Amino acid sequence: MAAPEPEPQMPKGDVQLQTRNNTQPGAIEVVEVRGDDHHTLALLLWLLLTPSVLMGTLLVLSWSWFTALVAVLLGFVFFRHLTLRWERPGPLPAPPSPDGTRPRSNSSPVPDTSTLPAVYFLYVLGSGGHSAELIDTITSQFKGQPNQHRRYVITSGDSSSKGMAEKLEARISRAYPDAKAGTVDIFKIRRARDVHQSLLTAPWTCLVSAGHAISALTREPTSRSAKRFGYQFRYPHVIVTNGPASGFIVSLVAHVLKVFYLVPKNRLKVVYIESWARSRTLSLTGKLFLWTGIADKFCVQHERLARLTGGEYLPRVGIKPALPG
Amino acid sequence: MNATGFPAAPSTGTKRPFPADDEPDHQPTQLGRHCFVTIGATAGFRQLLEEIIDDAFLRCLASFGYDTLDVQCGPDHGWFESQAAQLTETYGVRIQHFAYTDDMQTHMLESRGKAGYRLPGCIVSHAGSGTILEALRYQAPLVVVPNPTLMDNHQAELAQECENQKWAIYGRLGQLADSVRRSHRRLLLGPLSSDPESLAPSAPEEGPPPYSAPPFPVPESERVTFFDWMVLTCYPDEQAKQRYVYELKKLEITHYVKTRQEEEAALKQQAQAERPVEMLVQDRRARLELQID
Repeated sequence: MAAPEPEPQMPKGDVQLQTRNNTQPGAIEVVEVRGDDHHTLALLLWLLLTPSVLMGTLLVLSWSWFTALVAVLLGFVFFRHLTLRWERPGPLPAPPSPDGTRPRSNSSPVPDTSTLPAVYFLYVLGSGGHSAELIDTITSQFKGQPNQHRRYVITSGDSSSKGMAEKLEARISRAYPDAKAGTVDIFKIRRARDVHQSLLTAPWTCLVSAGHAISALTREPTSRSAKRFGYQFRYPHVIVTNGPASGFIVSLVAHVLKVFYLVPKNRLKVVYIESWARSRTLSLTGKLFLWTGIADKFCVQHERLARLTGGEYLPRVGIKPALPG
Repeated sequence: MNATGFPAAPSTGTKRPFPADDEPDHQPTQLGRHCFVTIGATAGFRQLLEEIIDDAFLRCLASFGYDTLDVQCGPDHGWFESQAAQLTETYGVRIQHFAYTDDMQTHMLESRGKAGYRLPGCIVSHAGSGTILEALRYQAPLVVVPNPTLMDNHQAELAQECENQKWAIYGRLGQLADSVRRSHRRLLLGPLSSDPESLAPSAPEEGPPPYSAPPFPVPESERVTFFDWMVLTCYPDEQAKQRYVYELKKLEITHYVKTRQEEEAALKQQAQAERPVEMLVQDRRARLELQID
């Protein structure tokens, strides 16, 4: 693809960029799950091997061996879970002030991610209201830089989220017509449970959905192939979700991948942002995240809820009331 | 005119008289106010629709100089249509209704008003977060009515928060006209201004300046950097480096401020120490002058 920008504007070093054709908003690549990748196979192997080994133990040896093995397995998972929790990032240096603006740069540091080899976000979009809120949040935090890749995960049967993501991408490519817009793709996964699906078949579709989530988390973007970028874009750095059930499944899968050493611990950081509609109580997904502790950062958007739950306070920006006093 | 775009009103002390309930507070020289009622896309909200075509509510709208009432009715559109057709008196308020709209922005901006074109009206909305956020983005006066028929009345939580934070008015079913009146009183109060000269007591009410969309990308000073910090936590070395640089910078600044403060304090002390000598000299001169006299 020919770069529209002159040579000096291209970033130096080994980072070469594939420039997108940004003119149409519908030009974003949509990835759908075709086959299994090696992570899915590895996890399936785990899923198949563990029960068979356990059953074999039960048949060949005795109950005590069986119990011991189960205990060791559970102990390993629990220990890894705790280790990952201990290694969580502490409080971040610059919490935004309540009116939405950060304090002046003298009193708070501004993170600089433009020199990093890769910046890879994965946003899990859910149904209409959740997606709109998340797109808003992304807009308030967006900064164009060439080393950035964004992946939007949408679920099958959700028509509105794709349009919202494309609208945002159209805005981004209008603001950054050059390589600074970074690269983007949309990943489609199966939704965990259809609207009127029976509870009997739900576990199976959840598993399928989880398999797709593994692909979404581990399949590297075609615009950032390992050949050119040396596995820097192999796994997303930050997973952002704000409430849909598929977001929980993706986060759970991310945590499991880290527990079994399938992904390095410095990737797949989960950020859960509770919906703005919740000011005093948590939603069901929020309770799940808080209870399981799989989110690296648990954020709420109201000060009171932050005090109640101990979550990070991430105030919503752009609220301009018309009614003073 | 100030940041919020509304004319400055008298500060505390001189209160402007509020308009009586049944008579218009001004003679409309521009288009009348615009009220937009929306109940969202998912669930019906018949109680709200019933109330907005109530005689008392329409009379209240007319008393404030409203001329249009746009209603997004959702699934109850057919029912609302038949109810609206039975109305005998609308007090000059034109009622437009539709089931859904793709263009919320136009309706919300009409309700927001515009200087020289339309006075600010109000949006009466169900307490869904998407609608509230959109209205607040356009800076339109907003009355939020939670739908009590929804699952354990969960919308009331958000409506109460809006009222507490002074983002919007908590509208209660059965007292909707009062809520609209309250919204207009708050509009009349105006934002608090620090300049007392600009507060003309009888300043005529006008609409806010035209809406301009916020800039994109967001200016660096206003950008939220939370996600960037999260990315940095994936590169611990880089994060440590940036933190170290920041700490150094902070130390430098505090050191600079401290030395400046010390210098100032020393200067002050010196000045105080010199003062008595000057006074002594002055006293001496005064005494000498007296002796000469």
